[in-house]
Amino acid sequence: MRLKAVVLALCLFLLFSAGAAEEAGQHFYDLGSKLYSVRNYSEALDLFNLSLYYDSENADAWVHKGDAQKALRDYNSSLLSYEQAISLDDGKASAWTGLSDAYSARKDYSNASVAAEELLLIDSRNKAYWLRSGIMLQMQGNFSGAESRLDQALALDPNYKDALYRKALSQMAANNSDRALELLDKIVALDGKYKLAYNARGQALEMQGRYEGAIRAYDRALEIDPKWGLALNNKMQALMAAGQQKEAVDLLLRL
Amino acid sequence: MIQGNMQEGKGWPELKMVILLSGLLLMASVCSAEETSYFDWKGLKEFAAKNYSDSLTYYDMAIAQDPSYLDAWVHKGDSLRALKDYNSSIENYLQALKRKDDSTAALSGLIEAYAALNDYEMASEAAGRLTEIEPARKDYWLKEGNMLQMLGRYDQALARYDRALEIDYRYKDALYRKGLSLLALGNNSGALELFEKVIALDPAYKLAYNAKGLALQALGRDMEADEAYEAAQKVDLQWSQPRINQMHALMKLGRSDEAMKIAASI
Repeated sequence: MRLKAVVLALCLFLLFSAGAAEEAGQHFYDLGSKLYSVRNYSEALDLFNLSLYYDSENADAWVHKGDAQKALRDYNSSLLSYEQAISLDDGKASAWTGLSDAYSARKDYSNASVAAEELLLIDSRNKAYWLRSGIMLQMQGNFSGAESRLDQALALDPNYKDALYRKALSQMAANNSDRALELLDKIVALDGKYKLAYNARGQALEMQGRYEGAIRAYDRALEIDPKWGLALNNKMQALMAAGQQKEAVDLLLRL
Repeated sequence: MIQGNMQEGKGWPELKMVILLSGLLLMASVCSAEETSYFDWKGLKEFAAKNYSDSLTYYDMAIAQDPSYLDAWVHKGDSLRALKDYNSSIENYLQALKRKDDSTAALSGLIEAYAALNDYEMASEAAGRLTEIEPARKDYWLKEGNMLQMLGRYDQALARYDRALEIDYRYKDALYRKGLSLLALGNNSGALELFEKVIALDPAYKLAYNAKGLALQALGRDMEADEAYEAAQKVDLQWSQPRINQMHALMKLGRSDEAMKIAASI
């Protein structure tokens, strides 16, 4: 009888302690998330570590720890954190997203692509996952493979600007600048402020040897973002190609 | 004789007093000058520690004590420039020049401040004054040339670079800038020659590889341009300019997939 009472008391104590630890873990996790949202990554990381000290089974805390490490450019550690989250819950999309981003930041597009494919297994109705998969393939130079992924994204949302833009890049890679221009025109009709589309229009026009048109397209991009180095550099190239070398060097000196 | 000396000795106390007073006056001026330079030195220490606002306090103290102390005006101008208060920095350099119109330090600061305000006309004028004062300084000719380039006066800039190269024919920065002038003026072969010379002198001079690529593209030699851009990236992996330029060279070569691989990653 006495033994039963002792065991019961011990169980209650353990239950209470576990509950308290979980509560403490959640408390530090919440605090860490708040600091993360205001970009105080170092202190957020400390709090996520504290949260995991109390509750190492919290997959969200591992993901957020990985996010903080990634923000601090400690990509190798962030990969380990995301993998830890995945080991706890392999259907955790935020962990696969983080993993894909961290590999991408390390320019390891092959592994980033593998992680992106996992996201599609989790939710194939998510257009952003199809886009991500397409981008990762483009980063590896697989433009035709990317196009089928981007088409899937566009099947879910035909006005998905980012997918249209990436599809245009695939078309340009296949030397189909006319089709690329159609897609880019569609983007600027949807969103007149989409600077990447104007910039890519410039590139497509350059491919066709239409340098004056390309210069105008780069100018449109620069109207949106006057200090955008990519568009400035591209404009300089178009000016050189158009034989306006003085204007090109004027620009080069200001890059 | 002794009596005479005694009579002369009557004037000693007054003379001593005068000497003493002169000595005190001299000491006071020396101390004051020392204090002025001390404040200026303190300001420079703060400047070196990048405490620009604090340095201003010391320069103001130096100037308040001795408004003719040239260095404090120049240094104050430098601190204001570091704080991006370009108009005020120009005022201080001009104050220095009011006290010594051939102060090269003030003129150098003035050029930088005007350039920061994109007022290359004034910057060029100040740079012209520098070369007048010290024509033996190659860096002054380079500076004047650079300001003229920013005004788009590439032919005038050429003459300045030539003066710099007369002083030092291996002066890489002048060779590079002269190359840019030639490129702007459409002399692509001449520009290419100069960029190659810079690279021979310094294989780590990344700007020259990039510019060599541009000259080669202008000559229609896109394959070689691609190689030049590749070489620039070997010097600096993070530098985006040669990557973007390489993308254009590849586009011209019809290697669209390679070009777009770069475009996709930028």
